[in-house]
Amino acid sequence: MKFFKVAGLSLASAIPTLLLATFIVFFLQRLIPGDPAVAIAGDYATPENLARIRADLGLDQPLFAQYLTWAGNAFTGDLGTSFQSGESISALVLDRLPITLILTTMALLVSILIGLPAGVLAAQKVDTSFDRFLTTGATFGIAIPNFWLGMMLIIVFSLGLGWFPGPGGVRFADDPGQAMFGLVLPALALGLVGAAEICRQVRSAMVENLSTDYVRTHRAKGLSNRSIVWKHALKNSSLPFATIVGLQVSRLIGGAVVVEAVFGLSGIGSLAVEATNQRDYGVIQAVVLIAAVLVLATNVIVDISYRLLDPRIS
Amino acid sequence: MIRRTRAGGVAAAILLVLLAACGGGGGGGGAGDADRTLRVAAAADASSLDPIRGNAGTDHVLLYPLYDTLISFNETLEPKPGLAESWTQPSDTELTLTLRQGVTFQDGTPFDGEAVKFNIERAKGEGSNIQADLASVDAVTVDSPSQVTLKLNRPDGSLLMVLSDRAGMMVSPTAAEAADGDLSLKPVGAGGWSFVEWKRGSVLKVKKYDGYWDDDSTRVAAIDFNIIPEPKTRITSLRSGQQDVAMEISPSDADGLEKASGVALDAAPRVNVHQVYVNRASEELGDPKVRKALSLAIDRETLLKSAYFGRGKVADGIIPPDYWAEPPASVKSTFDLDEAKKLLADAGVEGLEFDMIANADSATTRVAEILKEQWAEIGVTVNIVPREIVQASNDYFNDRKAPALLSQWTGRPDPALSYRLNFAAEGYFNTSAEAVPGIDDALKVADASTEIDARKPGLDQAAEAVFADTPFFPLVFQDSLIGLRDNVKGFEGNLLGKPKFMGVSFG
Repeated sequence: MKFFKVAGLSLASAIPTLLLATFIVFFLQRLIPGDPAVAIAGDYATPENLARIRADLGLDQPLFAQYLTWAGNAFTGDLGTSFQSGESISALVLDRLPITLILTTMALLVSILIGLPAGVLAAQKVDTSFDRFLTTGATFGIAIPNFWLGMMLIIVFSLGLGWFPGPGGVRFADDPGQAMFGLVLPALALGLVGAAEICRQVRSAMVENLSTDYVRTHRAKGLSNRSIVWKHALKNSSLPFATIVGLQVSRLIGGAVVVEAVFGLSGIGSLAVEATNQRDYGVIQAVVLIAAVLVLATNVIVDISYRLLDPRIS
Repeated sequence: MIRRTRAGGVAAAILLVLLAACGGGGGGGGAGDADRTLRVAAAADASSLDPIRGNAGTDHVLLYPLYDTLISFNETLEPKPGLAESWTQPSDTELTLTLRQGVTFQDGTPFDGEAVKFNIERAKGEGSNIQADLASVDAVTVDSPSQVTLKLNRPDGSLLMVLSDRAGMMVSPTAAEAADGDLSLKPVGAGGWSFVEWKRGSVLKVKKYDGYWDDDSTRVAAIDFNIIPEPKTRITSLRSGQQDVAMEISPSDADGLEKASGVALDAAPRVNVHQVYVNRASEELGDPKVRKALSLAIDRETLLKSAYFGRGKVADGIIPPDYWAEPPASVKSTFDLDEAKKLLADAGVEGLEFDMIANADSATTRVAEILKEQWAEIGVTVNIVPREIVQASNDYFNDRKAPALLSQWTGRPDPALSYRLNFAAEGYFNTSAEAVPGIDDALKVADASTEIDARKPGLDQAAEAVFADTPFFPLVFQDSLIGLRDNVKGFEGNLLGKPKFMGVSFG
């Protein structure tokens, strides 16, 4: 019962943030210089075409009225139609969202599966050359831009060794197995930076925990090192771990824009870039809405996990 | 513990190798050559699959497989028969087309005179982006099922090549009516391939149309146009075997691609010209002597080598060399600093300074910086105003915030259209709204006939009028650079830089 109350409160507090995010983005994107009609007319711009397009877009309404109309429609699941193509934006986003979700989930797994054990191992061998090797590696990992890492992975593992397919390969609809395989390098490019961050955070939390009195007591009682590290110390380090994983989700969604471009993937990151270039306001707004929902949902989950992991947090 | 860690490491390594082994080499393999899909990495998606609703020059590569045009063209853009087998001009305001017989649209609808009338009227109607292309057409009469006549309100020699462009792409009237006039999502034409699937921003799939009129044509079984906007990603995708063709290779990447194994580079001239648009009504660049001085101060050969890596040709006018409408020998961009300084002195101009908007991509910025240095040699200061492409177009063509814009002219299938849109008083791209002296008379001559020999004198006259007034600074015709896997045979480009993929096969 308490769990549902906590979940309900977290969800309720996320709603104003979501509304504020859509409100700010709605007005900020109108500040992007450049007339959408010029983008839509493209090579066929003539005074007559531009006038017709402006009238069709209905951009002559007051901004606040436009926002209210959009928010009302969005509440019912109607995100409008694309300025550029006339397609349903909901369909457009739903078509591109799965690849981004799969990519970011795989990248998050990469971050956790590499970062967590590395952090734990480094903490156990604190101030040894192994620890210094891992922490230096993690510092490099944080500093490496993911587009550069992506290009290096392509050059080595795809063009050089031929182990993985190159960018722009098979799609899920054609061959799900091959498509998943093709996402290994993008997930590594996107997730390795997160692994470095998780490694550093887990290491410092574990170092702190491993030097506490209760760990000394466990050792005095003859508890195995494995049990102390993985059962007791790691559990007590889980709050900073949950925090950094939560932060990684928003970073991964942002990073997906670049990684999708490098690997020729058609997710919502590339959709956002196309829409911004074409001043397709409705699509930009929809992508931001989806990203905001994902980040807020993650925050809610992290919030709930705090309470589950540490009963002292009320 | 150490044993466990080592065991974990070994397991991870085995998993990686197994994963790689399971992955295989990527798509495309397995099927025989006759059934293979041609995979094309395109730089941009189609803005629409309905030819009258699109807005981008890059659309054509994706539209040609679906739609045959009334008139076709050869590699140097001379008109040749398409869905119209022949044409005549009963008078200078009439164009009669004799249509190919036995042609059907991909939905089985027969192609005939009524279908042509439907298409021309549709392209002139509401919701069409190309009404201006057919402004000279007043009416279409169907003389017989295999013959139509276009009645014009003025002589229009460019109409023939207009019919090789969007306006000539025939859509099925049955499909258009069923789709309530908008074929964006369900395109049906009479081209060599029919529509299968379009995932916007991702892929367009077409397959060979068995009922195509030209049985003898060589066509691959299917084409997947994979949309990959990032230039380097298109190249790595091609090199790794994920694509068979990669469009729009950057000049800076061309050398690397030529040296790579398993791939080849197709380099060909095209009509796309890199140029500086000039507002002749501006205070800074209103004097023809000043404009001529600035043009003379541009060392185009150096620009071509340093900014375009030698991949192109120096531009003398808006029409490229090796084109039937190429400018006469008298139109020649020369580099002469002394003459440039003299002209500035004659114009009484000293310490000239002006703003030049430039598309904010690295290649254009490189050109802008070189121009800035070259113009500094004659004491002219240019303030480069980098802008994202939509904003640049808006600021220059609509708001007229600067007297110059460094950008490109993507060309048109007919040369007269390029002259008219850029240099006639009503041309959208002529920000001065004043005609270049002599251009209207020259275009009247060029418009009097559809025969290229008869049109050439008028177009020469137009090139000379433009050269004399210097209403823009042509820089370079950058080559069309397309990457191909070694097993792709029969690929042919054209001056538009928009290949049609007819004749392509796997060798």
